[in-house]
Amino acid sequence: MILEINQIRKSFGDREVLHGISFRVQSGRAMGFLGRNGAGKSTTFRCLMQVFRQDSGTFLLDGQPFNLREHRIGYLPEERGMYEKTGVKDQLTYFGQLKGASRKKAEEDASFWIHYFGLDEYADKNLETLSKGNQQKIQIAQAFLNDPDIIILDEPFSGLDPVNAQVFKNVIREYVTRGKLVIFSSHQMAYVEEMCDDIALISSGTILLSGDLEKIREEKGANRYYIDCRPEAAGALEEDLRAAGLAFSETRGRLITERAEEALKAILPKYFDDIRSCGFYRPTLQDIFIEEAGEDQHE
Amino acid sequence: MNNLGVVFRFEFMNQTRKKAFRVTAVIIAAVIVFLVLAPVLFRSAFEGGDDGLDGGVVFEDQAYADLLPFEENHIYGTAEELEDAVKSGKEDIGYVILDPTHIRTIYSNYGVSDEAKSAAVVGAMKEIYIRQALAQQGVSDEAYQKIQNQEIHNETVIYGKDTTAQYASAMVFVILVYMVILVYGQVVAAAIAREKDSKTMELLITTTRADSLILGKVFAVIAVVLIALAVYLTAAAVPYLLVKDRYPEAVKEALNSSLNPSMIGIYILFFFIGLVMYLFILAALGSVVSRVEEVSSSLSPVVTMMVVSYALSFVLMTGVDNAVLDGLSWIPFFSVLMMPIRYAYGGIALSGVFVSAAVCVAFTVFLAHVSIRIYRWGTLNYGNKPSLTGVLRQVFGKSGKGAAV
Repeated sequence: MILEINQIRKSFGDREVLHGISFRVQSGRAMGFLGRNGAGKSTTFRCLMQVFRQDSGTFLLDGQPFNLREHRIGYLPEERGMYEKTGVKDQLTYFGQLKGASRKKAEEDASFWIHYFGLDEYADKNLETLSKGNQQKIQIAQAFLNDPDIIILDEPFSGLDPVNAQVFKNVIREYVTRGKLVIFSSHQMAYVEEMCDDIALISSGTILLSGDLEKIREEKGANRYYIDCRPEAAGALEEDLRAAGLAFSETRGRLITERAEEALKAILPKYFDDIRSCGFYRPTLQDIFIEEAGEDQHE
Repeated sequence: MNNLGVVFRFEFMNQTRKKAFRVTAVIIAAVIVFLVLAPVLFRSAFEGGDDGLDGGVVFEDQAYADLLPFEENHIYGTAEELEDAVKSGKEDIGYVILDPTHIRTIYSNYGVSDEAKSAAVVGAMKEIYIRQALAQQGVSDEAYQKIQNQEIHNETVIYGKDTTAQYASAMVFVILVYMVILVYGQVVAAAIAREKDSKTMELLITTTRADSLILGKVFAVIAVVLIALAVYLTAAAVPYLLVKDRYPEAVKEALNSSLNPSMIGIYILFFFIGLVMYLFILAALGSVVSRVEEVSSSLSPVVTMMVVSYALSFVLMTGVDNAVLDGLSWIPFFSVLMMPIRYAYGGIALSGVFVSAAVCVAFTVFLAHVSIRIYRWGTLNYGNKPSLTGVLRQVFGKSGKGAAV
């Protein structure tokens, strides 16, 4: 399956929050939707989930208009919430049924996910009696009820401790391996870098870049060289680079410059004792994010 | 609306599992059983008490002691003894009978019912005075009794309805509709507000159409009302069938005259139309607010409308025939309570009642549509509570039309 997001525009009152965004998501490849808070990630998901309708643009699934009711979808909204005064299993069964499962299948599914997240002892307890972390697990579990083909998760790692985050990552990996279409938003680069094959980067309602993460890293690193040197020598090194006519920038304490071999071979030996490492530049997702969205927007 | 049944079942189970629902049902059923058994348990009260007079008494002239039916142990020797008895609370009321035309009444506290008590004594004294006065003029006691007991033959012709028998059933109808709508309307509104408050709504509307969600909730509450009414009806019917033969004649006659099958049919029809109509209104109001605590203030305009409707229905029960009331009775918000009362009191023909019912049903369908749109619009509308016109403008404006129902 290929989900295409085409030229989506959305305004609230006079303020346009999505300025014609486009990217595509492919099943079997985890897609990370990156952007800081307020960039437009949740609005994009809500338009996709038809919580509210976009002003223009289309969502296409395999070339056909995307209809929410025709597919099994797992959705975890940014605003978490379920019935506090209802039993855990009862409400998971209810949500399973709402997603089209028979009562028996929904009950089995609810039991499976309760067990998967190690919450058997809470199955008949009201949600409000569970800790925040365990409530979060139940909310995540509801997104996977009725074996969805399309999984849309808005900030799924928010509020998860490392152990639960690992459990959740395993679930996502399994669904990606099974060829499901998975997209999740996050502003936590490490998770996206670890989990995703593709990314789309949104800033202030505009897609800055999208596509295969590895290719993006290669493109961003092409003909660039990094130098990680001691701070005491950084000033002198920068002077030499400038004198040689090489443009450079600084990212997370490292100098990134053009891969001008002759010039670098002449300059770098002078700093043999000061350079901690150097080589072909391969940007991290965080480097790309900062470069594209601007350091002031980084969280 | 393929999930209507799922939503209905979930909401129904949620409501009926509540301890408050069960406890309330048991308490009300117990009260009903008691009320049904009351005519048998307190038979004497329903058959009328003895002719005795209540309170303490002192006779300045002992000649009246035999003429006034006070109980022996309430007759005091002196006015001081009587005053002490009243002051100490032994007697609520005391009478010092001076002569046939002079009585002094002493109260511990003066309440509404005390006037009736003293009126009985005053009446009895007046009767004694008349008999004594007539005897002095040569009219025997037997002649006086004969005059007093002369029956006046009054041939009654009623061209319309005898509405006196309708009062009790009309009152039960008005109170029942009023209470059920207020109690269960609050339940629907709170259930929706709670889903918004807990942010569950976004999950719901991405899996289910808004019409299934709201209709499922409203129908579930109607089913809960039916269950409650069935329990109450059973609580009334079972003891009634067991003891009805032991009911005092007066109660039997009152029941027979007030239980009119066609009238009960009209009441049931308008009861359900009113319930559904108001549940949709209250459901819409529940989706406008952001937090459960805001529900009661949000409902206040509708509650006020119900109170006005309730009060106007009682005015109609006094038999008032007024053009303004007639006009109001055609407005659906009011007609669910007022139209059956107008019919019961002969103010409108049966055909008019059915026209009114049809108008109410059409209006309810319209309200259901509006309610679903408001619910859908209200899904992600958090923050300040907007005005009604603001809500309607947005619901039926550009942004509202964008939302999938």
